[in-house]
Amino acid sequence: MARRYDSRTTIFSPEGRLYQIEYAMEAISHAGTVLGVLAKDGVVLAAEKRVTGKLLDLSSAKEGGGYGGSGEKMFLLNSNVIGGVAGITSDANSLVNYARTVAQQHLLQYNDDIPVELLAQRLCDMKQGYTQFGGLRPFGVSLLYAGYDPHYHFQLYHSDPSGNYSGWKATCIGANNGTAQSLLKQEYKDDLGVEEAIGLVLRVMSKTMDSTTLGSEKLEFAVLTYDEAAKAPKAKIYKPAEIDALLRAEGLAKKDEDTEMK
Amino acid sequence: MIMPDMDSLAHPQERRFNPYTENGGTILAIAGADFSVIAGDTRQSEGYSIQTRYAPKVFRLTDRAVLAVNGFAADGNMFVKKVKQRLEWYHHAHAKDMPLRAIARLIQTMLYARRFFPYYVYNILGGIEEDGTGAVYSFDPVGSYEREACRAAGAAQSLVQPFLDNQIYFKNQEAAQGTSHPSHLPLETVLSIVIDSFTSATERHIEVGDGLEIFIALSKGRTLQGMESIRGLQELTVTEDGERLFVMRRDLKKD
Amino acid sequence: MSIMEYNGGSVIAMVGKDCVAIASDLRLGSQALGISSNFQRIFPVTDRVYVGLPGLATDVTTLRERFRYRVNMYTIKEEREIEPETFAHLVSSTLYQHRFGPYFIEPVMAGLSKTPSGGFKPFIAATDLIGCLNFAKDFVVAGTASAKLFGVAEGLWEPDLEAEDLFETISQTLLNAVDRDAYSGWGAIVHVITKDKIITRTLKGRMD
Repeated sequence: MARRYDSRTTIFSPEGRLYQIEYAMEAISHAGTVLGVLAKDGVVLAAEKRVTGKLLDLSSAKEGGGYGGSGEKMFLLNSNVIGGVAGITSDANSLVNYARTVAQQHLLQYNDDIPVELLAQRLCDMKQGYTQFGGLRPFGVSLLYAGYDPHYHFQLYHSDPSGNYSGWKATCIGANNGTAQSLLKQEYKDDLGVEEAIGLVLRVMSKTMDSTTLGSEKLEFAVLTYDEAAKAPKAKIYKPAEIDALLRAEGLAKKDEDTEMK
Repeated sequence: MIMPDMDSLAHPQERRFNPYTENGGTILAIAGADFSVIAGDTRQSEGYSIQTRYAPKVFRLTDRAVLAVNGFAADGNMFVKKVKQRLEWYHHAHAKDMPLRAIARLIQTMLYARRFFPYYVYNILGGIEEDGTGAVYSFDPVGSYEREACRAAGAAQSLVQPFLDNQIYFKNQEAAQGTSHPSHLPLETVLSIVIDSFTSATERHIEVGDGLEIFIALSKGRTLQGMESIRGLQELTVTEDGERLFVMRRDLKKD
Repeated sequence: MSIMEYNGGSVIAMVGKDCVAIASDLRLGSQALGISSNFQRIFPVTDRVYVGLPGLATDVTTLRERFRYRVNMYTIKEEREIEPETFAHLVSSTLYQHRFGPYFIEPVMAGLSKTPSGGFKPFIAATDLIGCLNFAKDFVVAGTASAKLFGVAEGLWEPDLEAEDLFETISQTLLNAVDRDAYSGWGAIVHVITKDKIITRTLKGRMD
């Protein structure tokens, strides 16, 4: 039955489904996990890297780069928004580029940083367009947006390939997102501080990820806070060394015997 | 069909001879306590063409008066000729050289006489007053004039004048605690400021360059005070025991 | 009436020993009428690059925001700050895009560029209103007092000035030049960029 309706994004099946979009969502549910938690004084994002291996050149992430991160899953979309992506990397790059352009156009036009929801909305407008017009496939990407704006302060949004978006206190996309979400539901408390949120994110992440131990080679991490001195949001995407230091501080670093095993 | 020529003949057309042109170059004069320095470059140009690399713009009038003219060269030369003629008549009538302040007033009346067909020139008169002080008088083309301590005119006036404001008048400079700016600079300093001004103007202005002529008028009794050996200095003094007049020449870049 | 002289204002940049300086007057006018004596037309691009935008005031604002857009996109994609040479070409290309309907601005840039050995090299540049670059080794000027600035700078500037001497030289050059320009003046601002700090000073000037 599906065969007749799934080759085109624009055609509904008799049951009223758009198969291409469901396939895109399915692809994402196999991608590396991205997890986000909203705190009262910040937003925390963590992501599981899938593209690893000792031959991978990570020098740019370790030495260069003003923002840290390997550029696989965490991106600075604007000075007030960090994006975490799950899905097809090449599609994600294109969306990130679009988001940055949109944010800068807003800054040019209004001399203000783009509101977080508006940025999510602009991306979703595009994503939706790809589900309706012929000859195109949808973006195989879900995103988490961790952002700050003066009106709504800290926010966390999620958008999926259909162009749907919604705001969350804590959410997760990618592999094992069901497990992660039920863990978050259990552990999340209102009035969470950013330090507690960091702990929560790392604990859930360690339980969700397939690998037994956490380390910078498999993890990306970012925090958005507000710099009172500069009167501006402060986005920090952690460098590998900083991630390892954080894991040690949280008592989640891999044990010595683990390293010896290798 | 109307021919294009027919069309143009249908309207009255005005054709006019333009009696003026600009010949570039820059002049400059600085007064000291008991001397006066009057200088000008020697390039003469019309548009982007150099007519000659040596056309003097600074002229000896008497042992204590030097006139620099800048603007339309033909008018300038004719004007200097007429001033010299009037000075000779004065000499015949009074048996002495005309004092500097009188020359200044003469120039004003001669310029204003042509109020409605002016000499297209800016004049700077430098020399020694009867009281022995160095003086500079500057004029506009129709005779407005003023005695000053320094003045630049011509193509590079806008480049040189603010530099002079700074170096001669000490504009925007504050004297160190307990000291004050000198109101008159020594001859040596003035000469190097003049040379610096012209090398700067030559560097940045296409109508300035080729050669530099610097006239130095000294007050009665004042010597060169150790500057006798300065390169290429030539004395032009005619009368004895009075003011002395010198000229020195320097090359400027020819590009 | 020239559009370039409608609002008035001038900028100058100079090279020193391991430092650069950029300075401007603070006047905003409407032809002969003075409007503001605190009009900023020099902007930081990064910690080590400044740009001055003399010309039509509306284009000062617009171009400054366009440059911010392009520099932000450069920074976020390259994940590093833009070098002064690169910024000069960014300025040039932005202006040349409007070759037949230009912004009436003649930008002046000053900064320190990174050398391969980890040091810093002074850099200055200026362009005309359609982006023709001029990489001078001594000083660059632009604005309604440009002729006067050229004259004074040519007389005062010398190579290898230390930061404080460079400050004095650029300040004297600017103040004396704008005092002879009716469209520039009303105070001035000077930035001296050295490898470990930026010295910014506002100068009092003639208010006529």
